[in-house]
Amino acid sequence: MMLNKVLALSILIFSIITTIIIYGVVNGAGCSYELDNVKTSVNTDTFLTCYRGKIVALHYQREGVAPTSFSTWKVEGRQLVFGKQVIYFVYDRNKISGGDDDNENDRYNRLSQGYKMFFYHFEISNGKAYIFQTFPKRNLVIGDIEGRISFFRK
Amino acid sequence: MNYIYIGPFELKISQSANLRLPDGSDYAITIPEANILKTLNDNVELLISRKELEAAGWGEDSSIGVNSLAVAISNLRKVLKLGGIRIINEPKRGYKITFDNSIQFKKPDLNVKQKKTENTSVDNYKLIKISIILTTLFLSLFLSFYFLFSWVEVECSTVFNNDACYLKSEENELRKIKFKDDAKVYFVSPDHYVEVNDAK
Repeated sequence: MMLNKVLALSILIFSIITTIIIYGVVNGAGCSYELDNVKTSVNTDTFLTCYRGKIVALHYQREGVAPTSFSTWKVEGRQLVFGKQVIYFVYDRNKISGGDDDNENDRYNRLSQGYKMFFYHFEISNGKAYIFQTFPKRNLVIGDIEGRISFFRK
Repeated sequence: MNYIYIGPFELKISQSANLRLPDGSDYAITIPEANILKTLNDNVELLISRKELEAAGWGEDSSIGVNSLAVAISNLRKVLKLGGIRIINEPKRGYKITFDNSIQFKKPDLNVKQKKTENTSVDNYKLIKISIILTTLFLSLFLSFYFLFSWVEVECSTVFNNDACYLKSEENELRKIKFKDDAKVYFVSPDHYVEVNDAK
């Protein structure tokens, strides 16, 4: 009898957590936006689009001494949205152009290849996205945003 | 596969036949012998004629030897006496089977077997439940902690008449920056913050 109660309780807890995650996926699937001019550091730029929950991002390094300082990485994933919290579940990250030598962009992407989930907090004001992050370091990146982030948030 | 209980014996007939005592010992017999025994057992204490027993053992096959039935009965007697069962011959009339009740064999307790099976299935059911509990709890805890510790906690509040959004972990660092009037501040650290003049 006791075992049945514990079983019911554990299934209930698991169901609640699963439902919350599914809510994030469904809410995130309402996205249709473009994020431009995200300066993650001095020499790198990020452009990101999200449509029906799928995100595609391009990380560019275009400044410095060519050709070793030039590289482009393409990142693909799904987004989950809980209010202002935006979570990117990345399932693909590839270098699509650039030499063999490492630059800042390569280092960042190669390190990030070891992770799948990235958590951000989006504050949006007057067409600008102020994106807080705590990993890989505490940072605030700014970009131009246009479109809808999720079903419930413009 | 047929199981027939004859006194303490369990008679099993399939491709071959054998008699099993409750202590687990097996005795192989031929199919005709098994059929003869079955016929005798169906008519306990009643005389069965030779012809009927031959028909039960070998069918209507007329090619059997004169001593075939006697040999079969002799073989059966050797085994059956271990269980206190006798085959009695009444000359020119036939054979009958009798049970000697003085020899007691413990019959297999079917209820015990059934209870054992029930207990095993109850144990398996319990094991499945415990596995589900452990799996769901582990996954719930893992997901909760993963999300909890990865969550970017940002608080927005009014600081010195200015709106400020800041990482919650850096709340105490806010006083280190100089606020301008009518500016909204997005703050990560004293070295890294943004003031937006038209935000308010």
